[in-house]
Amino acid sequence: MDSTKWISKKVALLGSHAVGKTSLISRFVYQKFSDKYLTTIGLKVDKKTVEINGHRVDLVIWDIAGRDNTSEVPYYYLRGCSGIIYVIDTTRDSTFEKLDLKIKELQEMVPGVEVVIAANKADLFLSEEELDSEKDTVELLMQNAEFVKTLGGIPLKPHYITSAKTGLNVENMFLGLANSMLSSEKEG
Amino acid sequence: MATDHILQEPEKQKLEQLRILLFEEQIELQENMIVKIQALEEEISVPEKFEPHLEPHFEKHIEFLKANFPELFRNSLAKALEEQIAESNDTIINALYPIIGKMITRYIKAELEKLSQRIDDAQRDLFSIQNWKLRIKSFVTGIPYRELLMRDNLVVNMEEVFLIDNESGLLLGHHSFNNLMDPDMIAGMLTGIKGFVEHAFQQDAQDLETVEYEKYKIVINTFQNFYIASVVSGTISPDFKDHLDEEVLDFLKSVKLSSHMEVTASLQQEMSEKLKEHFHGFNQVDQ
Ligand SMILES: Nc1nc2c(ncn2[C@@H]2O[C@H](COP(=O)(O)OP(=O)(O)OP(=O)(O)O)[C@@H](O)[C@H]2O)c(=O)[nH]1
Ligand SMILES: [Mg+2]
Repeated sequence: MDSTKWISKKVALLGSHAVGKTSLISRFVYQKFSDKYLTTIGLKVDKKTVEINGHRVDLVIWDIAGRDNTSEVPYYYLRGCSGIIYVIDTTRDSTFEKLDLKIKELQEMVPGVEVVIAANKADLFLSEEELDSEKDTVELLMQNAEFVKTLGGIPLKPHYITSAKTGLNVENMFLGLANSMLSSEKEG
Repeated sequence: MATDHILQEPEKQKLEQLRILLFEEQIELQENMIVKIQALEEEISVPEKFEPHLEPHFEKHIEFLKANFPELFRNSLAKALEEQIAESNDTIINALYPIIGKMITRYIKAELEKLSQRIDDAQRDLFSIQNWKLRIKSFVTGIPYRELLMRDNLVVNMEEVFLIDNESGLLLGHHSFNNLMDPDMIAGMLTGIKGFVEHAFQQDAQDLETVEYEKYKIVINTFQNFYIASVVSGTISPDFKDHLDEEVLDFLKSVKLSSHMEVTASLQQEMSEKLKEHFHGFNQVDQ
């Protein structure tokens, strides 16, 4: 492997409808958020270049309208993916039902793919004052009984607790995924 | 292309335009569907029964709805639409899959028919001096009148060439005559629409060979591990298509690309150079 590298990777967002897939992308790529819900029609592809330890990765990010079951995800959407972000809505139990099975199915459908789970809309557990305060958001969430209970009810531990609204962990998540896609390549 | 490409506003607009145009039928159809779904949902409350009922029912009504849609529904629809999409999202999309692909092909066919219509109209315009000149030229040269008319009316221009990985839709190389949009995003979108149409047409074994938007046509040549998408403005004559096919085959001979390649900036650069070698003189030679 070269000392520095510049590569392109396909990343797809998955999860039920209205969990915030499009919002996470638009936060990450355009630093924007809107409260309005417009379901994704057809397909949208975005791109952002990130830097990891001196390597550059062009993330080509695919977005479609959500599906409840992995079997409903069209094959052309998944093929050639190096990374998948599976988004759940922490305020709707139905979006993380059988999450463990779904992730397993995805890994079988796309061998070698890196999957991260994003527990989104975490901001909705906190009050305006809490969000405005200086305190660390994740710490506040960990002290929030309702949130902790929700987290405990998710069949598979999420990798990132996110909010497309406040930006919490959005950048971290994409960078983390880019990083693991790079390292899995070194191994392979 | 592997550059820090920050999209400018006009580029974003163009991209959004392309997206809307690619999915125009889908958006329109989705709107039509919602109205019917509301009615059907009342009749059929069992989901298993719901889907098989949907398709034949719609086929019949599509034409009617398309023709009468604005008058019938415009006012009452806007609000109901948003709510319905949110609620029956999956059902709508699943029901739409088999139909949308057909719609896209129909759209392309319709466009071709329109072109042919324009030519027929011109043909009927027998009194125009221009047309008499062409008729004489046709008689003298033996080139069919229709063909001459096409050549006369249409200027064809190669705008961009993309080399794209079949699997991932990642851009392998790109040559642009005037830098229209972000090539990485176009590559992804094209691969998506291609996959979408081919998926919808699985049974009919049809390939997506052209996509149209605005004054552009995208000609697609698919090979085993990658495909070449040429963006052309104007209407493609048989001559132009032949020339394009030749150049594409020539290009193929000069590259070796395997499946599951790592897509690096240096590969993209190498491929872009090759594309440039093969396609740069394209417009000059053709005209
Ligand atoms: N409070 C809050 N709202 C969010 C967050 N992320 C998304 N939303 C809202 O949730 C709704 C759905 O967001 P989208 O990003 O459109 O969801 P999606 O998953 O792309 O939806 P589909 O395209 O239909 O599958 C919108 O109203 C967003 O404003 C978040 O982190 N916090
Ligand atoms: Mg969306």
